[in-house]
Amino acid sequence: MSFANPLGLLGLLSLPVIIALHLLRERQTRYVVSSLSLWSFLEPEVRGSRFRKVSISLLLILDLLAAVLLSLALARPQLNLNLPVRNARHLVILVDVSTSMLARDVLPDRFSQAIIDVAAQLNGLGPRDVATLLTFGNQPHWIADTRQQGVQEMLARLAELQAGETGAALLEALAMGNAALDPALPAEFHVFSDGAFASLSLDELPHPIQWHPYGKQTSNQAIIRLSAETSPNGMSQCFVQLANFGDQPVTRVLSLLADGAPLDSQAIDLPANSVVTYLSPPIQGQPASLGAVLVGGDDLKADDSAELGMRPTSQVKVQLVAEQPNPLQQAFNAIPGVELQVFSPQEFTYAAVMDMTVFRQSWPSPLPNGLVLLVEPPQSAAPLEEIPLQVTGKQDLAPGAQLTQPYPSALLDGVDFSGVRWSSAWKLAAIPPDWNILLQVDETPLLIHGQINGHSVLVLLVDLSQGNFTRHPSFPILLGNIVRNLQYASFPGSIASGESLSLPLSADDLALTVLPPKGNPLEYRTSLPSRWTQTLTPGIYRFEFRNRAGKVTSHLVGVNAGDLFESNLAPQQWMQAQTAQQSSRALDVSQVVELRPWILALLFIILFWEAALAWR
Amino acid sequence: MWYQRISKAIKKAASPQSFTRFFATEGASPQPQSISPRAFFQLNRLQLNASRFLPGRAAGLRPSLRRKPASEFREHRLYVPGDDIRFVDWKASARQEHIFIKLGEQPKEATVYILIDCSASMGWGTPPKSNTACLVAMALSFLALTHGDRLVIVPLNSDPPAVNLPARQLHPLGPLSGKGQYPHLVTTLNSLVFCGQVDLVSAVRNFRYHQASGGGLTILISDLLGVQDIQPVLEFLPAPTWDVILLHMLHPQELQPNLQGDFEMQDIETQHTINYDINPKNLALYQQQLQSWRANLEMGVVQSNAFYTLIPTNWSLEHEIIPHFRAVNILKPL
Repeated sequence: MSFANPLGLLGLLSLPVIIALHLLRERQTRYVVSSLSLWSFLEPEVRGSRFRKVSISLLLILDLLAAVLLSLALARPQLNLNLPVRNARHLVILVDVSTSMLARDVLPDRFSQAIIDVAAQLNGLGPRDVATLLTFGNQPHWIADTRQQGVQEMLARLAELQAGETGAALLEALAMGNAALDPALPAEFHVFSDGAFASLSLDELPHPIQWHPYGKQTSNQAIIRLSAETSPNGMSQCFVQLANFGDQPVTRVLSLLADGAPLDSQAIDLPANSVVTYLSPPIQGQPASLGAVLVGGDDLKADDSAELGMRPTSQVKVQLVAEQPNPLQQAFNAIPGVELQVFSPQEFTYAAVMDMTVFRQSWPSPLPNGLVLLVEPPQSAAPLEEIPLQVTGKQDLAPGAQLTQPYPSALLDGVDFSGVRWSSAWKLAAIPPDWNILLQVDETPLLIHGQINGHSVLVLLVDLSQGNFTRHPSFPILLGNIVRNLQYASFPGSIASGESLSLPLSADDLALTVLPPKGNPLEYRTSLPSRWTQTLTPGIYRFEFRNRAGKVTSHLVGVNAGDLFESNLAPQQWMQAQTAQQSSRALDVSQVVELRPWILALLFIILFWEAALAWR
Repeated sequence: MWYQRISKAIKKAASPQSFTRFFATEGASPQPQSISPRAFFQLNRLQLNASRFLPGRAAGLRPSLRRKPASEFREHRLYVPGDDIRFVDWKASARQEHIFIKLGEQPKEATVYILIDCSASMGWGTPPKSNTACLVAMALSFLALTHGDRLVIVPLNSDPPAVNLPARQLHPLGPLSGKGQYPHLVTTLNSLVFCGQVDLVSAVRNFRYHQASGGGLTILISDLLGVQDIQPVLEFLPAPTWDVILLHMLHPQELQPNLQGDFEMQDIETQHTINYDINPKNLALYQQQLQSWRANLEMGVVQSNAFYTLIPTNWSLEHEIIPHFRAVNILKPL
């Protein structure tokens, strides 16, 4: 029992006052005798004490009881029931679906044990209990809720859960669970996890967490990073980071694969609790993918291999339509991998397959395939009605004006505009509402992006003939970013397992075929997915895009499970500390009963009793 | 409610009525009273039973051992020169070789001293013990005056006497003779003030050496509270010169207190207070101690050749006290 206002207990100081008042009251009823000598015959021990002994009367008991109850009522006692509220509670169950839960240090594995425990929790729900099932790995996922599904359906969904994600979005999952809480019920958060992630700051959570830890001390080695660099001469070099999370040094054999074929094999000494970097010898040729495998076994197989999809090095076809091609032509020629064709507006003919077309001071009619870049659009009206752009004139830009990026874009990554002296920019009558301003000076847009009939269109409004922008390094870098971010170039070489992959689609793409490392190929023809989320299985994923012209472009993406935190299977100290506090925190979960109304009711009964005694 | 009860008790204790009641027994005079006609009727046929050995100077109605030559024969003695030859018993002298003179009894008077304890404790109780004490004194005084005895009423006061005492209480009343003095005696007894603390030993000694003219019948009326040993009191009144009757006046509440609980007891004489937890066990112990105290007193009285009797103050004169006096031979029929 606790007190919300402990100062109220100072009222107990009134108890001796009440006793003193009773003594005073009894002293008034003295009895006059003819002589005390008669009573002095009594034995000394039967004499009253010098300090009067308090006679225990009903009135005194009631007075003391009333004072105690009043003091308690002021102190606002609260009874913390130790027993969990079985009749009504809201269980938020969070299951760790990360790769580390697949470790087989316990049988059959950590994740299977967690599923069994969660099923037992769900089967033990009371009739008025509410349960919300969430998973957390790379991202939090809402699975089921008893307010929407029955327990059996929740168990079925629980059985369908798969582990294999990399990461621990526990805070996000807790936030989701907190948002789903029923405010009328006491909440219980149960986390079923092995704690293979960084320590979290959980002290500020509104509800305590009951931890259900899994795993034991075990040794694990993992490939936590795989990358490659291609030199200008076409040679590649592989960079591998290996980690040993065991307390004993081990020696593991590392095999390198190129397009699935063995390339090299090397015995690596891994000291205890260390991270070792391995740099492969130069690799001849241009393999589409690279792989690294740790030969041998440990408790977690998923992180013993890593894959890397190599970026395509094909030429990007760019058409430049301009009366004055420079300085654009000079900048595109400086960008590697660009196949540039320059036309005057009168000579321009539409090619069947083109990655990018740049129009300077002219309008396209019709829109070509691929990305369209409009530089210094003319003041004349566009020949196509669907182009919602109207240039009204030039606007001078004040030197020192503030340059801002209202909409974040990868096109501006690494572009430093410091030192650029903007002179003037072409002013548009209005910017379509669904277009994004990527770059602006004060309120004047410099670079905008939008879609016209499914064609991606960039408009550069800077007056290139004035100022120093074309002579500044940011100018070719910006054009290089535009080229590199064209269509398929944004595919990463590898992602963590469970991480979703953004698929940059264009209007020319008609079909997508995904070949996962295991299982049958998946083919999409009608509606192509913009993101790929089925990345639980580590390995190399092949994405094949086929456009209207029948051109097929393949991209390889490696999905890896190895991670500095995920592969560390040792029990985490911070989680052990949280588990140790679990019993004491469990008390906080218990229901708090306010006792003041009951005490006041009892107090009024006693006061009425006293009143009846006093006026009887 | 508790505070109301307490305030009510304080108000009650501080009220003028309770104040009067609280101090009513301190220094108060008993209500004017007198002997009922029925008691007078009983007393007219009784007389004090005094010892023959009491000294007496004047002739009276009380028989004595004093002899004189008389025609009524009681005994003989040898003739000495100078005796009146009219009282010679010639017949007896003829039978003997000596001449005998006939002696007869000479009635005499006796002096009756009634000593009344005027301490505050005698004024305690409802009705106060002094009422009964005064009635008893009136009855015995009536008998003494009726039978030609000399009567002296001695109030035993505190030393020094309280300032509120009337002047006539500071000195003994008497000696009185004859029934004509009775109304004056009643007025005096009714005006007695019972207050203060009386040291019985010093009071009796003062009486013996400063107020008594000789031996006599001494009736001491007191509650004897505070007296553990009576012999120091009675040694000033030795027998046979002094025939002492000790009338022990105790209130029924003193004989059998009707108390229960925790009390702050206050002595009416000393105003001292002591806390006592009165419970049945203690009351039984009180009874034992009271009996033991009375037995000690009685034993001391007997050893001093005096007479002791207990008079509960709730007794009525005509129904209980006079019959009791007859039963214990304090009074005897004419």
